[in-house]
Amino acid sequence: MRGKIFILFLLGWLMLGTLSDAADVFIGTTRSGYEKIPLIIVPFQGESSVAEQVLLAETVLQADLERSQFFTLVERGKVAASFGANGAPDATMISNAATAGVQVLAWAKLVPKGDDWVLESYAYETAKGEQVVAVRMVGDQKSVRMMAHRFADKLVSYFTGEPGIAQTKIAYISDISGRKEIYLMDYDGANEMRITADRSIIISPRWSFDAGQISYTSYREGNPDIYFLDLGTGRRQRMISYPGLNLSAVWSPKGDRVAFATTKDGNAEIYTMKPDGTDLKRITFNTADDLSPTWSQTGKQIAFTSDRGGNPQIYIMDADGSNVHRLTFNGDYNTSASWSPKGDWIAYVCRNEEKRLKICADSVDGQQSVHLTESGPWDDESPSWALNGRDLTFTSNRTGKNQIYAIHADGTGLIRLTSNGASNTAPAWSPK
Amino acid sequence: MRRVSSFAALFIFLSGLVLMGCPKKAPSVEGSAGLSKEKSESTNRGDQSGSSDTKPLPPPPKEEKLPPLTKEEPAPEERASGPAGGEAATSLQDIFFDFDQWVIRPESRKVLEADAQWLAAHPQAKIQIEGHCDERGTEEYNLALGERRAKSVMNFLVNLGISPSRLSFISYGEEKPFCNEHSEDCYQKNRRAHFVIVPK
Repeated sequence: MRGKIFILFLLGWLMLGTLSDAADVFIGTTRSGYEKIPLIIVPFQGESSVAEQVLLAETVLQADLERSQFFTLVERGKVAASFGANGAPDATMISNAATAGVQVLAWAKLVPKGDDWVLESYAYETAKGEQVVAVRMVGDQKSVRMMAHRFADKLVSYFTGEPGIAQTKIAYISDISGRKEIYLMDYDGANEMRITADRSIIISPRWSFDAGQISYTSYREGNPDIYFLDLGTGRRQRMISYPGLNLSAVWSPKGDRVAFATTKDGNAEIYTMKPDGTDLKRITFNTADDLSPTWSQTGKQIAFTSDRGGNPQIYIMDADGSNVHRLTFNGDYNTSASWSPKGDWIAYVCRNEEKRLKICADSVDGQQSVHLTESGPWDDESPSWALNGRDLTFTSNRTGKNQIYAIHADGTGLIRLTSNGASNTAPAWSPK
Repeated sequence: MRRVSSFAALFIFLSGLVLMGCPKKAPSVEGSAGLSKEKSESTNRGDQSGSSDTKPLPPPPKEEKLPPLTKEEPAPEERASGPAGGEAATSLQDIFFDFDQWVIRPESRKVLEADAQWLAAHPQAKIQIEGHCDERGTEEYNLALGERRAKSVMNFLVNLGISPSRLSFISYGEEKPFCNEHSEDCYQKNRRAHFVIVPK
């Protein structure tokens, strides 16, 4: 009897300690066996003068829907076209689609109106035989991409109940101007835009909970201080400037607290405060370095880096600093945690046996630990989750210079987002 | 005249140090010790009669000895020199660290002793100690590591008798590398504590 118990214990221990390949484990994605929704994009209507914009909108929509992992995009040739008087797919076409096994038709009309564009977007469900989504969007001439992104997000949320990420942005640091500055880009890498002009060293941009502000650390006044930049007004305010390091101010999901790290006490400790800088509370108390906080989606816990055990590992504590427990046990260097907005996984940087940095993820319950990025002679750093808990962005120097990449949480779909010859690092995915 | 020529020699020598400040090779600790040794030789030139100047020397004035380094008085040559910043920053030798470490290596202790001697000889000088890391490792943790390196050096200097009020530190982590190659050589050059004179 004892022997059997021992064997069971051993098996259980082996299962707990196993490092899985990404393919074996699903992280925040749909279960294996989930059927993608077959969808066809019907050619948009638009006058010949807007043909280029029409093509752009179709292309962006297709890329967004494919990227979402929820849809299979069906080729146009599979469904015989048939349009009504208003230019929209008619009942015949919807029926043709149903016969071909297509579940959804997506179609839009692009109409110039003065200096603006109007995108009327529609989706038809073949099972119901009718239109189920109708959204009218108005934007300026630069907004065609964003309107297509919005259409994609509508489709994702209607047909899956999940939030789409096509309208989100990624903040990052680039030295293309000669100095490190913060830039924003669309989640697909388009529309790069500089938002700081500190001409100093900048580190660690982070989004506020409502995507209205960005916090970052800058040496512009001779010391690494934390600044808040209001994206609406452009106003920048120095918030935390203790002697020593002031790093990575992160808002709780509801925006009621901000956590950050400072070495004002002689070593790095984590504090929380109100977003206006008042009500400062220290929540770590030891001579080790505690830094790089990330909030759980409930706002009740914080994961962070600590070397209290001798080398840096990821720990979790309650938002008031109590109940500290260690999450990571593989390897001797685990830092830069990012807590999934779905709550169940924490991504972080792990150092492998070849002393290379990779992106890893552990389940919050401590039961699973995976490598999200592959082995190889390069470094991957700075993971940041998208709001859907299914996608991440990170930095990698696998092509030489640091570039920003995105990847699905199941390890598939690696794409490079930056390619401008500069060094691009520290991506942060907007929460909206 | 002798004093001016020894000042000129000091200035020429230190200018040479400035030009040598961006080496292609990793500066070895032995090299640093060697430089320190040469420095002390040149400051003693005022005491030697064997000058390399080709101009005929006027009758030498009374020889001046340097004040003992333990006294908080500026050396006469230094008072006559230009702004302390340029020379001083190159007189203070950098301290190098092992990977993932902030402990002062045994061979670095002599370098720090020499740095402390310079500081003792220039009591008005305030310095900032910069902590740096190589590019490996993550940015925020490297900032903390850089600070630990700077503070290690600061504590060592304080233990050698330098007043803490003269010393400050800052960490740049991996943000301000001295070289950019992806080589062990360059990584070692970047894992350093570096001194900067703080303007008054």
